[in-house]
Amino acid sequence: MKLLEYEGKALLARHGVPVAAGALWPQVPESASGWMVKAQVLAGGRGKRGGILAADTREDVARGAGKLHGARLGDEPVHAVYIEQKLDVKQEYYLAALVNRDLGRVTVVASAAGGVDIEQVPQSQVLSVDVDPLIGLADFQVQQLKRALGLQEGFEHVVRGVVETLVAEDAELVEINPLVRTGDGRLIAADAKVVLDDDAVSRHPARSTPIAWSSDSKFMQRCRELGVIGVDNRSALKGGRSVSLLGNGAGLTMATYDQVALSGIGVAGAIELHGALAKGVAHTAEVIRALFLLEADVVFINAFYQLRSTDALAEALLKALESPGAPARERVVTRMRGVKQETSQKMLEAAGCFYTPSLSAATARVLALAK
Amino acid sequence: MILVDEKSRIIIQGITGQTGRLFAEKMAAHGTPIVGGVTPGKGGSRVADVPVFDTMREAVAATGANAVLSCIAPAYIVDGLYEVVGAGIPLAVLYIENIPVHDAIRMCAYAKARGTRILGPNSAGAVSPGRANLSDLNDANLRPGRVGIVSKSGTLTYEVIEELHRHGLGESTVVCLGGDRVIGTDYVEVLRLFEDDADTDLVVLVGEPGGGLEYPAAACAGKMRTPVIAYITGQGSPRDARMGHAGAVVGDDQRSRPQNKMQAFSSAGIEVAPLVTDIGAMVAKRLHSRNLEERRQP
Repeated sequence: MKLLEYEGKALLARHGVPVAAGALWPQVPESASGWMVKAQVLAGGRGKRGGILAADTREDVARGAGKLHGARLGDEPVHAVYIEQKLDVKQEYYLAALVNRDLGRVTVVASAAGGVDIEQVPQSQVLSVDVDPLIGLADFQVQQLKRALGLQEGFEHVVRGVVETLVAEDAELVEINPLVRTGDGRLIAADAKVVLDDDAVSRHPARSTPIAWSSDSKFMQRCRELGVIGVDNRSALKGGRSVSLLGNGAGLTMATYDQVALSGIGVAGAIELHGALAKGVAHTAEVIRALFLLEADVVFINAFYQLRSTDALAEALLKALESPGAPARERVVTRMRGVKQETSQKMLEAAGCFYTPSLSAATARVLALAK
Repeated sequence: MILVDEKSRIIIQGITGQTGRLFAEKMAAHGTPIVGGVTPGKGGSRVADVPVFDTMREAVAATGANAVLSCIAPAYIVDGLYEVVGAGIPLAVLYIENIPVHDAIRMCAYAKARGTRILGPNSAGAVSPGRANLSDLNDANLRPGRVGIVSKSGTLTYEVIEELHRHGLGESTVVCLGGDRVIGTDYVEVLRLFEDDADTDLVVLVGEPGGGLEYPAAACAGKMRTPVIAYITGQGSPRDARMGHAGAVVGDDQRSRPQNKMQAFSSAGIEVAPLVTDIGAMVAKRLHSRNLEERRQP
């Protein structure tokens, strides 16, 4: 999950990385040098879109905050306004630590050309250092980074703090852009982009719910409550009939999505069951009701189990179809494979739902209904 | 076949738990060479007619175990893997999913340094049909044959197997790498094993959005004598959506996109299946033309 700047900075500060004094509007931190008024959005490039305003007086702060509060920057809602002490910036650097999936390691990325999109900086000006998880960031690597950035005093403390934040807070990305050197020689994180590992949430019980979740759709919130994976694609629909789909397992759900989407039919969204079936019929029926929140024209259920019967899924579907707001049965296409799938077939066909054991046949039926 | 066969000696870690017991019974019933299980404190008992040991070391000493299916709770998985590695077991399947990525980094690095190959986390396992089934696949849904499969996903692999069967084909070995962001074994390692395998005539490689392990795989596949057919799922996935696999996210990074991965395989001279339901026919056609060629040049 992505964090807002101020949430990310709180984590960095906990691990000793210096940040400017700041507070969430309507609070204003003490400052003798003026303030920066910063829109808290999840997307980058907010400076260019007018999301960062300088303020010399408290009146300027109030005016700027009033302008940004509750506004939108492009497609992005402004979740909060953060007021920070203005820094006397002498130079801007780039510093990040991230999970490098392909190497299975943490990689530290640094550049003396900070303050711009790192993708735009020539490779020759960017240094990447891979951290061996069995050793940690080695001294020679710190020296290498210092030389690349031309920094001495205070840098080791910052880079070790950034790596520690990534690992100890279970983050996938900790990016500081820019890391600034001030007139009096201090290094301070002037921005922070932190992405946390969704799979480590239970290790950090004290953390509050990310503020950005509150802007999610009712469908997404319901999926989260039910412990299943939801994808809400309604904002990208281009008119015409749409399909909602439910699958078990990420790979099959994505492949099913492709079967529909690549034929040019709009997919309103999808649910990956994520083991929901093991929690019983009633729970699974709730999951299917969540799928109906997408209000698609055709519902496509595609489940493939190896060692499990699909009867509970068929039962859950029939139960969900009885609830108010459920789609008509002839608009439901089911493809189920599992132990003794014939009993599921009988149940579904007796109830008036289309059933097939074949993905090709199910896809053909869905496309015919949605055309 | 690769990784597992009738000579494998399989141990289940957490054999007395619900999942472990189910796997043990399934293996015993279908002729998979299971030799024992481990649950601390339950040593001396038996499950599915194989002995249970307190520690991995004891299990290895008594049975010569060389492969393990780990079925223990998430909270113990890191420590459990350290024990497997410490006992010198060369192959471990981590079935568990949703483990924190920094745990996966540590586990995979430690295992690699000490010579244990990990499949997973979030792997459905590996199976050589009719020989040994170290996976969650149902033996009734498998058919011995000469097509190798390497995939991250479990459920999508079921679909690929079904595709092969529709065309009268079967599997030499099916290998699921796992859908997590950081995994212990990559495509290239498995492709090399298939390339040297006399029982595999063709390999189906299944990729997905996220990361970039498919790129070195494409380069490797392009140089192989054994033909490879690639399929990349998630072509229609919306950006930033996590469709279940922690790893499968189409992000800002161009490399993470299925279309670019498909392009990499095409550029390397590898056939790419547009949809999962196209795979069976493409494999059958390729094997057919290859057989004709071999008959012409005996």
